[in-house]
Amino acid sequence: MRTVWAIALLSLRNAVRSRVVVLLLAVLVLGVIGIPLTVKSDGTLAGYVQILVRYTLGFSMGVLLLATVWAGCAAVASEIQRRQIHLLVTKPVSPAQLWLGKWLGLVILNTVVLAVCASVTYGLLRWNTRAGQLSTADAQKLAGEIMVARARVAPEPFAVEPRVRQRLADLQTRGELPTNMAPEAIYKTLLGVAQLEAHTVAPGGKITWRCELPALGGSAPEFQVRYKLAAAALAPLRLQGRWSVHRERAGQPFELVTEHPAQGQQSLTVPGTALAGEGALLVEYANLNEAGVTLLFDPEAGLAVLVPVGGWLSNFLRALLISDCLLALVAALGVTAGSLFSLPVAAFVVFQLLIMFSTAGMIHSFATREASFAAALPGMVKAPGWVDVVMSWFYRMLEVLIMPMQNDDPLAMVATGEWIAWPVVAWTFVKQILLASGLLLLLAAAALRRRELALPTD
Amino acid sequence: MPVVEARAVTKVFRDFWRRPKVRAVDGISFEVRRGEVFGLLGPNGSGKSTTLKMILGLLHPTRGQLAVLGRSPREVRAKARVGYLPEESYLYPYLTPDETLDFYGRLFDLNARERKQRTAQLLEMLGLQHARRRTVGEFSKGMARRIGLAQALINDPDLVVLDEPTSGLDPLGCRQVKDLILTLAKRGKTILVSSHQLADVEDVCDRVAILYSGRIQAMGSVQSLLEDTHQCRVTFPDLPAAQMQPLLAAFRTALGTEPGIEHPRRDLEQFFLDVVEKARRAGGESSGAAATQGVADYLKAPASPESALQNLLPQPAAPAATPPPSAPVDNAAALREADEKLKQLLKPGSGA
Ligand SMILES: Nc1ncnc2c1ncn2[C@@H]1O[C@H](COP(=O)(O)OP(=O)(O)OP(=O)(O)O)[C@@H](O)[C@H]1O
Ligand SMILES: [Mg+2]
Repeated sequence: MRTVWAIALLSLRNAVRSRVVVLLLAVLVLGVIGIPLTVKSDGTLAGYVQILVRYTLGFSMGVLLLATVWAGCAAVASEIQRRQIHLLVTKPVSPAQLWLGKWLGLVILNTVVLAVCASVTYGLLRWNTRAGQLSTADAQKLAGEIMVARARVAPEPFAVEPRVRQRLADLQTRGELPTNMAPEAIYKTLLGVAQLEAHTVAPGGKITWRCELPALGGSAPEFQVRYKLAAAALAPLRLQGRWSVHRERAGQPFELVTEHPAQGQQSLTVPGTALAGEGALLVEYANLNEAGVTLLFDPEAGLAVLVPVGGWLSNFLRALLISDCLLALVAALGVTAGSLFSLPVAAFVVFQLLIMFSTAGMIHSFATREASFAAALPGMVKAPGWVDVVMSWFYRMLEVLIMPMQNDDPLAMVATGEWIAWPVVAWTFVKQILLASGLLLLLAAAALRRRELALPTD
Repeated sequence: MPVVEARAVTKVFRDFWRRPKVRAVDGISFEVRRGEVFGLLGPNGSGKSTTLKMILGLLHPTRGQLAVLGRSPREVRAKARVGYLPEESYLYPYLTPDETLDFYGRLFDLNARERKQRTAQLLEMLGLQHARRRTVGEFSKGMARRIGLAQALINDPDLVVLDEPTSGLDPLGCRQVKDLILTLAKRGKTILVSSHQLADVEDVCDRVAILYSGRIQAMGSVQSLLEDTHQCRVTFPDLPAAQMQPLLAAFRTALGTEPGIEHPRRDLEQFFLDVVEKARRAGGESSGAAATQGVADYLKAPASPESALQNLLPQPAAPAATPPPSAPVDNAAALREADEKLKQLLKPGSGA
């Protein structure tokens, strides 16, 4: 452990003496202060918080991420290139200790820099919203709606698949399946149609969402229902509807008639009394408009219930911890790449990997496409060729490696007051630090053990 | 058990496509025994550094076996008892000497007290105490070399591998390194040096191997390799001609031929040392490495199980006060004097 510390301290010293850190901090602090001054906000308080927390701090994260890739790759690679490694590995230092030392140095550095940026951001936020600076209404809004941490509970999805499958089977038995369309495409189209149908409310009709709420500590004075309407009617029509929110059993329903534009993000504030009782929370919407005005809730963005569960600052802290885990993972990637390759090659490899991470959604769809259609349409999809099978396995393996590393952007969540639970932080730590970084450590240690470190790399 | 054992070791450097490029070491076998000073001699590019790097696990032999302290050179455990000075000093330019030695001391798991003590003694020994606060990056080549030497000794190693230890050092430093090697050898440490400074090797090595294009061309004890058993030299003070004549006459009669006769010359090394010493006494200041004498205390401690314990006890001051050799007449005398000094240094409780 003393060895690991010694190496970590050495990298810190290097960073400080080479003035890289000073420069980095200067750029970041300037960015944190400068960006909110130059970016045009929408004028609302929520918009200001968004800019400060999400974009400004997000900018710092981006810069820090790039710096970490570079510093991580250089950690071992430049030591080999400058042959300082000759003196290091002829001491009783195992490859794992070397890796850990270099990584720990980076993690400490990142944590410190991120903490400084976050403190400046928080300081700015508090300073610009200090007492006397805001109107009473704004101050209330800030405390009650913006600087809060609310759990976002998505309702259970509407079960449309069995119906779609049934329809497909009907079409097949009647021999009405279009022959110029692949069964996958037909299925997908039907699924889309069914989703739209499920989210449509005809005049006089009603739609009901069912939400399983997490255990709530204490009682909340109020909570929000956030929903989004797709434009199913021509704007600027105003829509009338009746909301009814209550628990499944023994609930006190909260009812409200609303009138709002036919599209866009909407929010409904519900008093906490509606949370009394047991069972899932039911959210109903009845279309009160005259004939012809049909309503469509956006099937993608849907509806969510936001229940306040904690303070904003601790939520901010958890978001920073998650961000720090991501930086640590990138540092691990860099140090390992630098143990395998020379500096430019290592940096290239890590950037490639990061690009792959950011296109994870695409990979996920590639990986799942074949499988889901084959399962959904037994007997209809012809057996895939070997190229399909190989590609599908390739994408599935990529997916196994990449998907667990995906996070929702924690800073965006804090900025919109969305609750980040401790288990999420813990799970991020387990998968990104213990599992992924641990694997990278093993890989690097094996490579360093086999490598002839006195060979020139350029 | 030999400290280093090489059996038919070959190293072939390959290019990117793994095609053989250079055969740097070609089937060499040798062993280095405990307590001896073994020299690897050879011209540039003969494979000395390559051999040493294989012994340290920095390169892997293409063929053949290598054992260091009974283990594979690639094992981490074996390294705790080895000290290595590479051919160039690959130090961290942003560290000061203190920090450098402290860092390497930590890698050997030495405690803070020990690190501090050893660092101070090594810097004193190498005459770099006045440069403690400067960073190694701004050091001259020889000064950096001295730090390299210090880091190789911080763990009081049993096997010291020195790749051209005297390169870049002034004659004073050379002499000191040689004294150091002899002191360490007397304590039962094993030393493996490479060099093409033949005089250096001759002064300190028990046995040498001469490498040429990766092969051992000659190997044996310096004594056996260099001794000319057909000749003999007698040395006595310069005498007036009147006294010399009968002596020479006696030789002439006994030998039947004319004996060779000449004044012994001081060698340049000793001459240089004397000049520098005079200048130093006259009070000249230098920003480079200071002229110092002797060897760090902890490196002189008897090599016994208690040595670790002794290191924890308060140490007497380093013997910087030992007077320099007073202009001896020839090399033999210088060596004798050095030997005397070392003997004195090695006496238990010396330097008190
Ligand atoms: N990494 C390498 N790749 C290719 N060839 C190498 C490499 N390292 C050394 N060599 C070659 O191996 C041979 C032996 O080199 P080595 O460094 O061992 O010589 P040396 O005896 O230490 O010489 P010097 O006295 O100049 O230090 C040389 O021909 C050198 O060019
Ligand atoms: Mg060499």
